[in-house]
Amino acid sequence: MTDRIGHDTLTLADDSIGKLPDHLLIEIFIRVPVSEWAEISCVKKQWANLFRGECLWQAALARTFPRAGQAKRWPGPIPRGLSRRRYIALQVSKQIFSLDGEMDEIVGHAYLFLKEQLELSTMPPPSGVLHGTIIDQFIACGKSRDTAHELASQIWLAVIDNLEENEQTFLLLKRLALEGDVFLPYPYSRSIQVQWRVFEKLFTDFRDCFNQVDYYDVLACAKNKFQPIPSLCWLTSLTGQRNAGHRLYHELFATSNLRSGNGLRTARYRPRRLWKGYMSWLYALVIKCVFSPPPNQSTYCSSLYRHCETVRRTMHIVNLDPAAENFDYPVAMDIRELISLEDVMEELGLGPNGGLIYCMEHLEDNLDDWLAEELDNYLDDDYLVFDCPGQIELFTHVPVLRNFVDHLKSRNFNVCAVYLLDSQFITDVTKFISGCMASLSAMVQLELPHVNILSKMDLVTNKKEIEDYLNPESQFLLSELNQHMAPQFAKLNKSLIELVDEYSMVSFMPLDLRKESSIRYVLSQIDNCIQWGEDADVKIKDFDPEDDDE
Amino acid sequence: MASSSSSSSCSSSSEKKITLKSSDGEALNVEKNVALEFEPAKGFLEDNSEEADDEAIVVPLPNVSAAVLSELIPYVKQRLELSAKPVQKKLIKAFDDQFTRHLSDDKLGELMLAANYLGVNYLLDVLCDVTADRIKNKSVEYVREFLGIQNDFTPEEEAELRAQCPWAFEGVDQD
Repeated sequence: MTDRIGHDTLTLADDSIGKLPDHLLIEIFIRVPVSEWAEISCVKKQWANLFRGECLWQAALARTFPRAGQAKRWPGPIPRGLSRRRYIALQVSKQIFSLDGEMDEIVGHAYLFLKEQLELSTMPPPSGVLHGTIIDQFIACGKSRDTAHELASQIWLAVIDNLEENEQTFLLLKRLALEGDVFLPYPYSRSIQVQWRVFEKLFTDFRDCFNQVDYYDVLACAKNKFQPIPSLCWLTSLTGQRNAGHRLYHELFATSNLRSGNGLRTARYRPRRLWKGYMSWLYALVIKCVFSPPPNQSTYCSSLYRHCETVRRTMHIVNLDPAAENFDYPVAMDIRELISLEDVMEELGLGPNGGLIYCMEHLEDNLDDWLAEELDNYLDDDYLVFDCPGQIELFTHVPVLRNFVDHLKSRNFNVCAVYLLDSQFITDVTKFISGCMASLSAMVQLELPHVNILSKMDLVTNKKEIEDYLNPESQFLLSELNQHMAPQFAKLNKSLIELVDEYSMVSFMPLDLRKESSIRYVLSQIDNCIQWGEDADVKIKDFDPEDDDE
Repeated sequence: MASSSSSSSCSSSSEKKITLKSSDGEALNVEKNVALEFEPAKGFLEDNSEEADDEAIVVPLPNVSAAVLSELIPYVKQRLELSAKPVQKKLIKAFDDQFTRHLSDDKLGELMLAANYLGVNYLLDVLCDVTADRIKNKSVEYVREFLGIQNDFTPEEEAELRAQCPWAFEGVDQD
């Protein structure tokens, strides 16, 4: 008897797990993480067959997504499919979208649908059609138009992000990028975020796949699509995807260099190395500046002019903003005599910002001609105020103003840069830091005496707060930043603050245009910087011989 | 589920003994409440409930060997005692862990077959978990060797299978 027992257990021991019935194997498999299922199905043919059958997927559905069993079928163009597909859909939507609730499954199915359509066929239907199908599906499920649009955008983004990096994807993205715009009403219109991501992906992941012609085609397309859009979509897509967003932005602006005729001059556009680490962050801010209401330096100029008029100081204001429209003060020199932004935009087909950069480069090319001639009209003691365009990248990235300033210096001008920061920035410490960084960047780029002014002080209600911002304390800013942002940014915050703090050059002066004393104070600071009036002689007018006679 | 129904009957019938007869003809005496955990035994007892003397009943279990049965019975017994008290799940889990930790892989398979046959779902659950744990994060070759399974694929078939499940990795950080 004992012999028999020993024998029995021996034969059992041979491959007891191999002997397990299918339903037990399934029970085991669905407990193994999904990512290993492919491996497991490679062990044995019987096992692979289990993964092809319906039973395993039903069991997996019941175990992982117990609620899926109760889900009803839905109307609409995207079908539900068998358990395997349902499981995949649920799994995908859990991993990618982390939604919960009854939308899970349909989102997953829509994702699979879109991905298959894009990936499998050699000539996928136009994106508008696919997008429409998804929107229809959500609306058929009783979602509002806004929700449908939002979900569809998310699905597009997820699919674009998850496409494999191969040539087919490159061709696909290129086709999506070059696809003509058909006007479709909301919510069937594709979201700008999605289009942006297509270009972004092309210019980052697939940059090396382009040949020259395609590259410029796509670039031109991107410019057409995005430049006229003064909306926050840029911003959201940028802040959402900081790492890559700056690249496309870079491309867009670099083209204005390319188009200005000298072929590949992108190298000139390279930001200083110092900024490398912070570049992506900065671009997001830069755009913010571009589209925020223009800084009020023109108002500043006019107030300054009126003030000087009253104190009988001579001052000439030079307009360097080719987009400026009207002035309430006499302009001594005007860049619009040289070039006008409107013409540039019309003739070269550039957007407002690209056009502006072109204008400034034109100015740079004419430094020795036009500017030199104009400057000849002024004498030693004349005081010139240059009213620059508000686009911050002119100061931080493009060397135009730097060259301009060098030119002035070479003619023995004492130059001082005045940087106006809108005082609304102090209401939000993140904005304030961006302002500081931009100012610091301009300082480093221009290498000039620099006066930072916090303008529109009359609009600030809480005057006590200002003190903290005029001479920014690193610890104070850091703690404020950390309070306003998610904890994962703590390290970034710290290094940003350290950067600003290490240079310890940024401090601000309040300016309230309603108060004469405030203007006088600011002016005296600027005068101090450029040593104006230090070598002034006593005014001859006071010793007019006619006066003596009287 | 099975454990809760048995815990109520535990007090009344705990003294009565049932005889279970294994596949190799060995007879084992168990308490009635333990025997009731096994579905074939439960069915058999219900069918023969008219007979007054429980001692006389011999339940045949033709698919389980005495060796496995003698491991199962103490586990089920202790598990019943545990779930009769209002103990936390943690304790039950610790107990399960202790039970499964020292099992060899062959033993695991045998127990699983037995638990499946006897319908002891909670044990099956635990055993499946353990097996899944043992084969996860292992290479295919390792799993084959580990379980003594012959490879019946050609390399091409295998490669094709491996490429089949890309969706499982979407949205997962691969490190």
